[in-house]
Amino acid sequence: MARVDRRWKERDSKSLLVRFVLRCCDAARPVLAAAGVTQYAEFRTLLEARIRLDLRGGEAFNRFGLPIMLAMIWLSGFLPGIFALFLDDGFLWMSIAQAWSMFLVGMVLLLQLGNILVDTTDVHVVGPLPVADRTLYAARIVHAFAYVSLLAGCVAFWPMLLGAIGVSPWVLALYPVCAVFSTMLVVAAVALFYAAVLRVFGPSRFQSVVTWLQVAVSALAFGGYQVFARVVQWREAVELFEAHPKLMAGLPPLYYGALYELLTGAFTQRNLALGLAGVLLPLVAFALATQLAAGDLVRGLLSPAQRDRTASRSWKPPRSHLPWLASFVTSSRDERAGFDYAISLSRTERLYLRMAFSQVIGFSVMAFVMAMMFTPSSEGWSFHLAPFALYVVPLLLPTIVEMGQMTENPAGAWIFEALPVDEPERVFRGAIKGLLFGTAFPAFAAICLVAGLVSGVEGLADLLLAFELTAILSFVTVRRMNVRLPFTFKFRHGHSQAVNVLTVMVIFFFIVLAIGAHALVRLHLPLQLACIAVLAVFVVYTYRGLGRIGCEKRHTQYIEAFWGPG
Amino acid sequence: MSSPAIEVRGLRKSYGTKLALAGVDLTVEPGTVQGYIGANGAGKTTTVRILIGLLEGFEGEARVAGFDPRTEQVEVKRRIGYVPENAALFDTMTVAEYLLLVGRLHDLDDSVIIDRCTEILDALDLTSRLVSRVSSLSKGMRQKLLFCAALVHDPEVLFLDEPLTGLDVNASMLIKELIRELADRGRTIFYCSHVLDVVERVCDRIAIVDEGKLVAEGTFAELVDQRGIGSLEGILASLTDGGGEEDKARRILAALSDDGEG
Repeated sequence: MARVDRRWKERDSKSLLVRFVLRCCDAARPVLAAAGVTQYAEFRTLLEARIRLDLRGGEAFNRFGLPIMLAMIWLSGFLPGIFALFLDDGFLWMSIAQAWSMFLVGMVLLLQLGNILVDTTDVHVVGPLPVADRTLYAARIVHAFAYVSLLAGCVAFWPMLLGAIGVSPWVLALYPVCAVFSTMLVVAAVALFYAAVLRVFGPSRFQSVVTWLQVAVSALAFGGYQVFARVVQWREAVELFEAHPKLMAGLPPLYYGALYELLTGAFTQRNLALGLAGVLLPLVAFALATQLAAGDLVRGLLSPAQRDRTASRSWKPPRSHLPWLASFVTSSRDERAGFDYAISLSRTERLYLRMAFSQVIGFSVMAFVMAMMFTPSSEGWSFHLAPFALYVVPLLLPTIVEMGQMTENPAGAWIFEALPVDEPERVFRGAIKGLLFGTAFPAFAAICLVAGLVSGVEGLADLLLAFELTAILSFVTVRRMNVRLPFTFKFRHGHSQAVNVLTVMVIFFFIVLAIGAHALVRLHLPLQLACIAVLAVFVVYTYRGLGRIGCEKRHTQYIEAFWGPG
Repeated sequence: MSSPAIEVRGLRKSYGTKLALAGVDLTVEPGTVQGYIGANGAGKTTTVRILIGLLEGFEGEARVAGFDPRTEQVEVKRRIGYVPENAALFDTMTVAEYLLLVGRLHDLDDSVIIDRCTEILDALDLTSRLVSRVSSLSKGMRQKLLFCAALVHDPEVLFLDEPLTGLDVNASMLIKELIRELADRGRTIFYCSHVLDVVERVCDRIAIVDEGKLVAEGTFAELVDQRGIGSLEGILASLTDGGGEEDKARRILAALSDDGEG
């Protein structure tokens, strides 16, 4: 047999992750076939290519982001784990542990990895190739599942360890089984949601509808979680479920509590029904999702994110966005150009809308709810605390600024090389200000308004202090983060920017510090007023710091990486 | 008599309120190099995207290699090759990996893919870049790679949208020769381009589309006879609201010489 030229050998073909995922798929081949994946070889090829591409880091982007996220999620597993030491009811504990895992997986899938399912970056490559839409979608679902399984695996460490000590040694063997199915259910449910949107709204409106639905779901998830946590009366809820056990079918985490019970030998009717639902529903949802995506997925992904507006015969220069703000915060024509460009793209860039704007809306809704929930009747809380909701804004800034660099189509970046701009950092500063004032500022203003209305005159000092501290933290965050010219860097899955990880962690530490300091200072009004006066100076100082952001190398590095040597 | 390689009847497509195709009828016989030309926004790319099954929501009938791109997309895609105007590639893959991916999705054995691609890459002078990442390729090299990927499964119908963009002289000559050879072997080529002298020389038949309508179709000689104009450029201008370029150029210069310093 002739030797194959070594140059045709694929890199990463022996990757443990790739082989493991493919082995799992081989084992699940009958299930995939039952779900309508008839092109198994093509499915395998696509999946392998997608995972292999994810394993490759660029020069500027690398894989540190994922391990750090995994470490944080690993730590978060301690919370449901600790319950095992207090609860001796295996059903209840496993349900709580799986609810936590499902919540985390769902949020990550929705906010960070949701784009894997509706990614458009590869569809121009794969679109003209003979791959059925259901095969393509199945590969994406399994790809997303592989990712979130890593997360679910990290969450599992503490519950497994503490569950084995506090509940039963069986937890070590049975928790992974429950976690696999609960994670499958979350992924399949999200996939089904997108497929249903595709079917209901049609391919031509798919992209625009998905974008706005992601924003809406994010708002609901964050706001709804706040409302839910405060409104639900737990004792009454438990009594309700005891009186009407059929209602348990509406709470998926209970499926896995029942599955755990079932696997430990408790063959009750409830456990059998819920446990079976926990096993079968993910498969049914997966099959339904691939069936609904059939025939229209590629067309849906290729549809424009925004509808074309009818061109007017009489052309007028586009109206500047937020003109009063733009003239206030920009100091030159170059800065103004960057400001307008960034604001304009932040309203239309699909990735930004999905991954940054959706978080802004979600966190803002969460802040509104937090502000409005601080009522005098809440024990130990005062409505004066409503201004504390403002601290949500600096939490959002790293996402805004980092996602603001990304785009699916970076071809427009060349203009900043080609145009005779004397000081490119002016354009850069203007663009960064555009992101700050175009995205974070409206949220900031709205939360201020809500907090002000809720806390009233009595909360004015708190509001002012929170306002100043938030503004300082925001300006410092933007100044300190190492970012490129907005909307010029090609987005790739699973590659977070590592250069900012330390900065973001320090910033988060300072946010916590600021909240603590605020809580202490507010106990003494004269001290609070003195702080407000002193911090006003720092607000101006840190704002002026925005005028010193430099970008000499940042976008040229990108240009070289994008255009290549030719 | 064999069935047409491409058959289109009453093809209409709108984007919102904008009509992109206003009822196109066209039949392309196997073994034909069919030129498809028109001004920017005339509807060329829309036609191609419908024919290769990437666009939905159109009216009328279309068949490619005997299959309906609306309902039998996978069957159509098995039989076509497509070289798009803008190279869409996986930047972090190597040239070899990309070609293996495409070939495997066309259900070809690796040995067949390697044998065929080795020959094509060699002819296109791209063998030395086999292990290079796609992101390191120049525009012309990317175009060559797209050609190789479009040919690897020996398609019945080849859709070329501005295929010579970025190619060097030798590669352009090779591609033009290849197009002729493929047609002689019974393959059908649907060739969209603005480079009219190439269309004139390479294509057996030429269709001219303007504002979504087919305004002329025939061999170059037939079009010359019909319009009484000796060049494709002139024919296109006469059919598509062209002409008066000198006047337009003067108007642009007049606008530039206005006091625009603000």
